[in-house]
Amino acid sequence: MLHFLLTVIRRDLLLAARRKGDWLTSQFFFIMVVSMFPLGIGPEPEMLRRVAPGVMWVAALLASLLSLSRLFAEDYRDGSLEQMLLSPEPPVLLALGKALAHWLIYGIPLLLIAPVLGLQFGLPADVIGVLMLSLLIGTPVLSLLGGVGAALTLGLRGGGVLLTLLILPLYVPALIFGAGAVDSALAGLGPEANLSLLAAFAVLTLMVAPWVAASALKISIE
Amino acid sequence: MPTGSAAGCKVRPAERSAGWRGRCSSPIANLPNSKTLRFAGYGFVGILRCLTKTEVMSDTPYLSVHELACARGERTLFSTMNFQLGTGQLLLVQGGNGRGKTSLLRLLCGLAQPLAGEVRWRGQAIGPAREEYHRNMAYIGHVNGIKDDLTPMENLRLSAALAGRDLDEATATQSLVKLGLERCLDLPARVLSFGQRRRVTLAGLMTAGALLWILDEPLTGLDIHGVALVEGLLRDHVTGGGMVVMTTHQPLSLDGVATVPLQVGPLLQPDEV
Repeated sequence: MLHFLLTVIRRDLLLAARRKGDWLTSQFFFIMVVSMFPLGIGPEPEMLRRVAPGVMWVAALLASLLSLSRLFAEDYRDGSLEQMLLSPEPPVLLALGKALAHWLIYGIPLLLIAPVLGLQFGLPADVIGVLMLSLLIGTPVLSLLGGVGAALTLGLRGGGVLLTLLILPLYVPALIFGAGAVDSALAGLGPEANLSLLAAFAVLTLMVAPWVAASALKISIE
Repeated sequence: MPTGSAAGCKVRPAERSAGWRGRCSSPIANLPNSKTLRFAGYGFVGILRCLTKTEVMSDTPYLSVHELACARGERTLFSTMNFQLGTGQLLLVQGGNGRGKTSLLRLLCGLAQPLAGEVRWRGQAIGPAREEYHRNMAYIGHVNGIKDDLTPMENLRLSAALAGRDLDEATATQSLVKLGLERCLDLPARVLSFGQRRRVTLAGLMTAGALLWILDEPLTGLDIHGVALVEGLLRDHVTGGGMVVMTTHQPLSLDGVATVPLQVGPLLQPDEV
């Protein structure tokens, strides 16, 4: 079972390594969106510091959505999704493996870019630490929930837009607790409460999302 | 349950199932004459001839289908379909376009759910027996299931790993060479032609070591050498005790292979076409 999960993850990492263009698009999108805000709302440092947590988190949500529409779509088109579903291992492992691979490919780089962008917004070092921690806990939620949306909209025309409409509302708790943790650190309060709630939400998602995504996959492929 | 008004399913082997399942002498020695059978566009006489040829079979029904019904949208494609398949048999699913051949094959693999009835593997419904069934089954659909960014070798080893098998490089190379892909081993599948990709899929089928092959139009895109190769593969697999369920619109020469025809939808008469 673990072997299958690791094979799915390794497979997606290998495929992403062969297609660096797709991978870079998502990271540059994140950088661009975050960098647009100072240009739009002006260079006042106090203001920038205040909006930074929300801006970074919203940009992370959008960047992850950008890559999610491809999560199952290409495997569906070339028939390898069918083949993986016909493997003796349960489909829930497939859904979990794909989501984890998505997190490794698209989530982790956001985490590494975030401190640089945080400096751009004038965030102090300890707040940047909290920002990274909140993204570390929060980005798996984005991939796991996104997997559900990608499985549900598989094979539909205009699936990308529908995916956005379906998934963005589900991201709300992650956004509130994630940005809230950074906000409270910025205000000098402890971020622990928000981080704990975010972690609880992540655990809940981990328990539920792969099963829902697996059922959705089975329906979509029929 | 509405029976298919347009489709009017005829499942001939089921009507005769007692006949071709019961007796169990040597399957091939008894054949009256092993002249090449041409399966494309043959009429009623051809079906009868086939049935008489395949009356003698092994008696282990590995795969069985009970009162199966399938619908696409509002339309019932077939209903009350029954058949059994034992080791050493090839089930050739026939029928015109849009009659439900592919739907039947997807039901057999478990990729789709039937409207009624069930598919059983060794007497157990394939839902509960999923793990064991999928371990013993290999499916080739309309799309090849290979990744464009990987080389044929990587594709083969990856699908083996996903199926929980270990495939060493030598075996993979051997099967790719057997399918005439020795010049493409290091190329990404993106640059291969349609027929070559089909061959990669077939090489994967060879290395899968499955007991039951479910093949949906495996000959699409293959040249005459490719068709001969597939005929050889099918013959080896079936005479070696394997089972095949397949559809094709091309003539196949399978002398000495115990073939069971299964008609989905009304019979296609050559003179009507």
